[in-house]
Amino acid sequence: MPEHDEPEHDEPEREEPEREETADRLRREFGRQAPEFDLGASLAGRVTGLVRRRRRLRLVAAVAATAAVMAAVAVPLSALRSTPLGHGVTPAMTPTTPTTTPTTPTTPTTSPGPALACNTLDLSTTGSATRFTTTTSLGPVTATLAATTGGPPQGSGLSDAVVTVAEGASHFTEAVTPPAQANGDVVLSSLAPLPADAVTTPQTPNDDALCLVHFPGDAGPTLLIGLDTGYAHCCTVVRALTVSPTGLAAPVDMNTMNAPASLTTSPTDGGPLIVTADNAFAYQFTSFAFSGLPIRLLRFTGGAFVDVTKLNPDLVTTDARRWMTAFNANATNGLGLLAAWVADECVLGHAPSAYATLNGLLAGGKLVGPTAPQGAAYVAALKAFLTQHGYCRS
Amino acid sequence: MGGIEGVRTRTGATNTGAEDAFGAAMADQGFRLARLAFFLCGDRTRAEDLVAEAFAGAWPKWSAGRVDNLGAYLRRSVVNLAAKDRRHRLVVSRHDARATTTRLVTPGADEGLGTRIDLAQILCTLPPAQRVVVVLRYLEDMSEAEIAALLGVPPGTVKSRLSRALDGLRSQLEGADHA
Repeated sequence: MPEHDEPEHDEPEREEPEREETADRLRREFGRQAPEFDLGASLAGRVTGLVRRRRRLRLVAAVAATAAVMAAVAVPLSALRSTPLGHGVTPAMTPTTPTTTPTTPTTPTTSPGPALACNTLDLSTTGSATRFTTTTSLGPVTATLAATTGGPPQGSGLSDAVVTVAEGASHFTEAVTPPAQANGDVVLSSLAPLPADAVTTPQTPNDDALCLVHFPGDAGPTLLIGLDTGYAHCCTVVRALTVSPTGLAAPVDMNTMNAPASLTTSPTDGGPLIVTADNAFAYQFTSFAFSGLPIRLLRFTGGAFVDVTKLNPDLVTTDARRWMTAFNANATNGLGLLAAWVADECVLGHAPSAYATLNGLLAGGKLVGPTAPQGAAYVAALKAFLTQHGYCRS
Repeated sequence: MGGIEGVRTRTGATNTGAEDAFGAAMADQGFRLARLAFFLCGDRTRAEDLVAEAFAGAWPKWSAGRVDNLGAYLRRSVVNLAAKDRRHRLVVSRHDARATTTRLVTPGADEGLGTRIDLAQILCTLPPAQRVVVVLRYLEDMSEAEIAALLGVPPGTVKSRLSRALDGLRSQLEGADHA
């Protein structure tokens, strides 16, 4: 806090007993008016999300601290600027490779299924201002991200990031530019596949941001890149580039904002899915910390992100159960969590029973929270919101 | 929603002891910190977010063993974050032509208590530096020396700010009583 230092001085103009009286009154009022907070499990969830997000940025900042040590092996950026960039075929072009040693983790791919492969990358082991590459392969297609880690004074994002996709003798390159919403830096955001028991929260805070995904019905794979826009309450952008024998299609960005994005496999058809959540629910009925964001499942097909949430009822059911559990654990600030549950139930086609549950909770005086709307007003506002966003008809 | 158990230290190793203690701190101190944040920023929902931000900021240092007194660290974080938040809102409102005066949201603060004053509202009339010392002194029950250490100012400065704040609040409290 930029406090202005003030000189010590005596304040004789008012008698101490008068101040003591005011102080006593203040103590009493603080005791009487201090609001109740039932933070419960929601605080832990919110903190976990924030820590993961910050960790990604902090890793690169930590890298900057080793600048002096690693400067000796840094690659001149000009070596990469000479590489032609853009869409389409670039025949006989050699994939970007660093001219000096620091090839950090080009470790083998993780492949939870035949239609999905992501790189593994830990930038904490990469020095500052260091050129690195990381690779993932799916069938005959290999994608390689080459970039230079940040260095002082800014020390955060990557620079000169280029992705190269190789299939047979063809190589296609595309510059990885910051998302439109970003503060100018390219910062990776993990798209790591979820473990079997997780739904919307990525459990592994790695920098596995480069994935090749073969969505059902597509002739070839799609390259997905996870990016972070920075700032608080923001942050995730999934960038998709369709790979075809003639080149890379123009990148398409999906900004999932506060909701993280991860990959998983559909229990319905076994194909890959992008798992995220609906940011529209953030702050809608309570603070962000207590807002529940219902699950949203996407695929990238035909050059666009397509919502396939309704086609995967198993995952939606799991998500709904999670929100109801969270609501039951938050007696005084659960209306944001309940909203996510109702939304999931609407997706599942259970709107009548969900609204009956709402009415029961209303009759039992359970629809209370620290902010408006509450009670019947909450039910009305929720129904209108769900109708407006296509979840339920009123 | 997962807990802090999903978070690993920077080296990738899990740190179960630190997680347990941190989880306990969230359960034990979250409420108190939220109350502190509420009286500093005057907005309940923002207070909850500030507390989450404070815990998230503390976790890396705590898990690395660089925080001796987690409670004190969190309290200082909340105070600093509230000040940062206030400055941010000032900047935003200055650049937003449609901005209106920030309305203080104090839902339920004095419901059913039969009081005529809204303490959070009254505190907002104080200069921020005075508000902080009043809240730390009379809500958190910190000594003037402790407040001085937390804010990084001389004890005499804390004392003078408290005096001025009490003088400023006296008339408002009395005025409210006679309203």
